[in-house]
Amino acid sequence: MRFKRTIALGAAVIGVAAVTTVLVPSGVALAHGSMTYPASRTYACYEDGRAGGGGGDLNPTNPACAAAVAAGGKQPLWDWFGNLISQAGGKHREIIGDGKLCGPTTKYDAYNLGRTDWPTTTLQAGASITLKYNAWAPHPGTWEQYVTKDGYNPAQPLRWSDLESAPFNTVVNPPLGNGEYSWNATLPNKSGRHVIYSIWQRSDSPEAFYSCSDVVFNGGGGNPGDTTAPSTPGTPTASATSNSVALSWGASTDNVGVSGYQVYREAGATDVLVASPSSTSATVTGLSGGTAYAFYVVAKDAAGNTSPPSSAVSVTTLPGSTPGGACAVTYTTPSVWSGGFTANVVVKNTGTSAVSPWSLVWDVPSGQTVSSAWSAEVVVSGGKATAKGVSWNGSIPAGGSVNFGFNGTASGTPATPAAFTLNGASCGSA
Amino acid sequence: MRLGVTLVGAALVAGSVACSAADPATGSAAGVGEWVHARTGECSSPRVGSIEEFAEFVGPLRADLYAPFVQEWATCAVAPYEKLGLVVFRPGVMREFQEAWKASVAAGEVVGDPDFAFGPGFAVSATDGLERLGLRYLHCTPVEGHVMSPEPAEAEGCVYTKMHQGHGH
Repeated sequence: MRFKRTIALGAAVIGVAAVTTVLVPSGVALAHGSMTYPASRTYACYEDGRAGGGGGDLNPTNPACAAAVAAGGKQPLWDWFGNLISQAGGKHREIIGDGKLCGPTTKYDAYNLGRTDWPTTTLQAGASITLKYNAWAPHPGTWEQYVTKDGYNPAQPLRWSDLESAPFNTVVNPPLGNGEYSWNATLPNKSGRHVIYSIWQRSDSPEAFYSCSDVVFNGGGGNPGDTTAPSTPGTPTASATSNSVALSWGASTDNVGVSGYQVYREAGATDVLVASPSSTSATVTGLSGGTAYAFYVVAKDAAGNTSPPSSAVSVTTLPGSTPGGACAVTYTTPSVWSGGFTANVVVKNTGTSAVSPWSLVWDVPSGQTVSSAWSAEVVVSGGKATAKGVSWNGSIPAGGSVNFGFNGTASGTPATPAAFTLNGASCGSA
Repeated sequence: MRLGVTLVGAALVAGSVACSAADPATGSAAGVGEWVHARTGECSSPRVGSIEEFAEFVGPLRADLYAPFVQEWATCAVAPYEKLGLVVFRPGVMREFQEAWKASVAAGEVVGDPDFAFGPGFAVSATDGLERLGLRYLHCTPVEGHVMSPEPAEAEGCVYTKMHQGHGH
């Protein structure tokens, strides 16, 4: 319904503004180690997660934040201020590889994902700004702020070569007040989507903190003052399988250029962003069979202007059970002790469509039991074990895999299960 | 029937060892919580979680590395951490855990060292800002000369080191 889509788009636009507004720190939790204005990825996703968490939990609704939680858990958001290397000692470029700048340790690796839908803060190119960095305790040190070069591709993980060679701002021991460091800076003359990369190297310790702030510059570069929105995209056409819908639509035009599209699925009061392609097509996966869906598209340009929404296309996925698929299972027992063992299981979807939800079944070898599991729910009944994905790994994308593990008991050396089936289809060994 | 995905109420080890502020090695997350509380005045009511919640907390990759060795875990709040994990390892598994971590680093699955702060048989899920607890870093990758007071860990090639001070707030 057009009215609803307009509301949804408005909500989306307001959401961008809200990010800018909400993320200006006011009484933030006292801690240290991340930029709060413009918001770092971890801080922006933390705030997004709090908004969706219903109190006491973090459930981000931004697709990039949700993907980061699926890949790296919620702890990096609870610890949004802890993106650090304790022994950095100023050797940032030596110890952090390309593609790892935004999350140089395993804990924060998910925040390296190359995506175009991280939460952004809109800034005015060339303007004076007060940068803010949360502070739990004062520590002397130097903050360097870099910006990405023109032509930076946010769909790729950030590399050192993506950054301008010199920081646009450097500050030593900035003033601390009200639980935050803040200092004035002049923003670079940039246009469109960029990353502000901040490095805080403490001078009283080798410890250094890193943050990526996703920003959209208005009014800079080659298209000063671009406030013209792209034209409305064409109505999508759709073709469905039992668990996916392929969409394509007519291109939008723009006075400067269309930078990409956002595909929304209608979902009640708040529609869901399901894809952010740079071209005029997208395939939405992980859908349920025999279910009606409606999708529409919004175009955007580099300055952050967005088009009116396209008309929606309604489509019903094909009926049928969740497809079984080609699959391969790797089963290992990395730890065996007297009377027990740990098993790790990797389930790879070797098919061409996502398997969602998934269910892996095997015959429990004689003399074995399953006592506890992680990253899956495992039920044993009648000698058969059934593992099902949990909230964050309930879908296996085409070509992707999920891991889970369990502890078990066994008399003697634990035997490997003879065969596995994924949603009823036999799996091979990887 | 869903089997054993929760560790709530799991049997505790070393049950005859009374918990005290000086010795958190009781084998229970509650005991670790009491120990943390005694040092910080915070963490007053730890909440024991399931292993599924632990996996959701650390994510699938680190769950694969930590969870097989975890006996029990809980969370509580210790500034600046709204949700700090208190992790109790199964008895006698630290060498296996460290060997598994080394293997994962060698395979390119993880980068760097375990990111918890370690005590005897337990760990808390963060390091920065918690130096006051007197816990130690665990290094299973080569360390440079300026680390503080390295001591051999359970697995060959791993060491425990003291934490930098300076966050003693």
